[in-house]
Amino acid sequence: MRCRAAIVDLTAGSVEYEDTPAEVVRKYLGGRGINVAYLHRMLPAGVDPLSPENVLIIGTGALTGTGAPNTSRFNTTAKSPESNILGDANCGGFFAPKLRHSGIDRLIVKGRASSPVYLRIEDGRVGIHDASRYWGMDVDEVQGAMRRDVGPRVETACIGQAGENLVRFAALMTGVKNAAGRGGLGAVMGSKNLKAVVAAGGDGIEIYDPDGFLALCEELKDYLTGSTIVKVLGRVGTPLLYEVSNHLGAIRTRNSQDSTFESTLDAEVIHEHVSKMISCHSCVVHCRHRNIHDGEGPEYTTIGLLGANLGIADTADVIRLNNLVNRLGLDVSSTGGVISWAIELYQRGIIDDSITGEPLRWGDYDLATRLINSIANREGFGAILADSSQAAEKLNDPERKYLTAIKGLPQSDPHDCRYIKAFALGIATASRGADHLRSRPTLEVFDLPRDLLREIYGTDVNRDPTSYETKEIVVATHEDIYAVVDCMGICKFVCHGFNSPKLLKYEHFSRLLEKAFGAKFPVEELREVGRRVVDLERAFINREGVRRPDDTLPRRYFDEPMPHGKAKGHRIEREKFLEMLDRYYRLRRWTEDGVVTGERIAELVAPWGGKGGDA
Amino acid sequence: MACAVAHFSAADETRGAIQILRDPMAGYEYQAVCRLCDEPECVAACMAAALTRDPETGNIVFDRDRCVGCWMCVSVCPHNAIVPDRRRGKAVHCDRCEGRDKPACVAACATGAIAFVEIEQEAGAKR
Repeated sequence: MRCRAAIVDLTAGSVEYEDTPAEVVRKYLGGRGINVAYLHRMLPAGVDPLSPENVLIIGTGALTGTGAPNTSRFNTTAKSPESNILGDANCGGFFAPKLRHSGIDRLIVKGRASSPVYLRIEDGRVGIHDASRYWGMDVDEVQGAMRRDVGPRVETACIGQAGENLVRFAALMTGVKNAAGRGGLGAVMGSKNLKAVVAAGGDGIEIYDPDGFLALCEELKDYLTGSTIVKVLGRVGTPLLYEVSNHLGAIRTRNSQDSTFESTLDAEVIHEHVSKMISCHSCVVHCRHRNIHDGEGPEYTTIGLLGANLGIADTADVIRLNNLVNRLGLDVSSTGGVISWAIELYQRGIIDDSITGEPLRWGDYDLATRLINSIANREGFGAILADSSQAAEKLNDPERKYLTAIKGLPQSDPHDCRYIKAFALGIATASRGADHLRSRPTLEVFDLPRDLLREIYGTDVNRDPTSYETKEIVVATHEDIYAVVDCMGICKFVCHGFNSPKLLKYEHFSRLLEKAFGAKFPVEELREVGRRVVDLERAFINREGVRRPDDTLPRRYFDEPMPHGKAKGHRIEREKFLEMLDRYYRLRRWTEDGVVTGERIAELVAPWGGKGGDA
Repeated sequence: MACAVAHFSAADETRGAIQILRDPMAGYEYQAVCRLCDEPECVAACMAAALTRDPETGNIVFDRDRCVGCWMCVSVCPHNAIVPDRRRGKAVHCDRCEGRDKPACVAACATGAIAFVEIEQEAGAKR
């Protein structure tokens, strides 16, 4: 498997190229895995994420761009300016296949350009070009300009005003709404004066067994499109999850003070504002909406965090906020989480007009629009909110009592995690902070038969989602396979565990790698890749200071019972949570303090041939 | 993509005989694919006789070896359906995947947006 890296030093204005060592590819596969292998190797502890020393890595997955179902994805990885630990975000669209087809599998950017630049990748070479005239453009504008100025078929990853202004939750964007959203990686780009990365093309990817590969792709396409969940996602997209959470009484509402909200954000209502469902590259699901308000989306996360969580019920208003956030290049999860934090602080009298400049009220669309614009441009009160969790002192809530965040990262999923205990453990331990995409244990609410659960988890697990027993097994199992999915460059929506007990799993990945590249990866070896990636990410955040006390939950999840619906009365009991955490550490073979052992780190960095950095 | 994998063993959509022209900012996507014109401009324009019409099947046949990369066919095709492979100086033209059970694009399509039917059948369906 070819794995070509371009290492760009923006300070020096130079580019070096290397083949990622074969043993590193063998052990970390691609995407998220090889990204963290490079980050751990290149970045010493304690670096300011917005300094030139930070390293921004854009890496395609092992199957990205091959044309296998749903292989559009890449990971962007750096130290996060929002959490000061691991920043890592996975993203779809059309950019990653084009990048790989341009002859570069991974782009590693360090230093800082003296003035705005963009990178152009073509035929395996990277050029650094002046981007002064694009600075100040929003996400749509700069991509349109690149299609006009560089070529009509280029694909661009870029930042909007939020990234330029170093908003700590600025996203890297591609297309109208595809976002490497979490952790402020857009601000890292902005700090390097890097406005955009433009993939212009090359010779594509050589396929080892073309007929066998096409036959396998057709088989998998037929299998996937026959799945009910794939059909439903293709019809209405992720908003279908809103009703699931709302029905349970677990949709985060008004900063989690409530847990049920209006039906105006149900999937079928959203769908009245949709002109077409569209897809990413090679996708068989097509879950993305083109909406009638001049944008794409909204996802479940958006209608939850910019809708229910802000108390905004009008369907069109929520979609307009979604479109605004995408154009400015902000992470929707942190935007919604930080604004709702501020509104609750105002509601409680913890802050007042002297800092906010105006009353902050629930359900106020105009206010939300003003705040989003002022955050992206770092103006007025928005300049404070732009620091995300790091605004705690200025917001008079130094202990972040009213911020739903873990390790400094506001929670992404609009689902209130007090009911499903595995969900709570997963976001508490996720390597980038409060994040559902590392281990989302959806199967917990499916009421699956015992035999199937034993097959999935390799042992008997407790079927009650509100039990604390055996949930460490559930979390670790999901973490491992999602890590491999992110290494492959495949979308989680066609993979095992995320929305279904079926769909693609290790066996399928193994077959695809063989047909595409002639590379033999037995299932057990792929499982090991997942464990390795989870451990190396943990070692990285350990080195930045993360220990057991950081693996916790927002205060409200422990202290306040859920107020509504079926989930009413549920909360997380501290003692039982800590026991669950102990069991999780033991399963992972981390120390009691949640630290990866030196012996294990030596194994993890060994593929670099002794040049892997210190433990 | 499937087209390029089938014909060139390469995942490289720029070498596919079916092109999806898209502009996400303008909100459109459009399939450019050979429509087997009644009076194909590409055949008339090809000076190297690389493009000919098979009188029996009505197919437009492309002989890649004869193609000299002049791009006349690319210029005259009203459907944007002939792709200039500039790196190799050869046009890419749909061959209906003769020799395969069904065209690679049809096999790969997840939505049924593209189908392979005999012309009589299609005309019958329209009527």
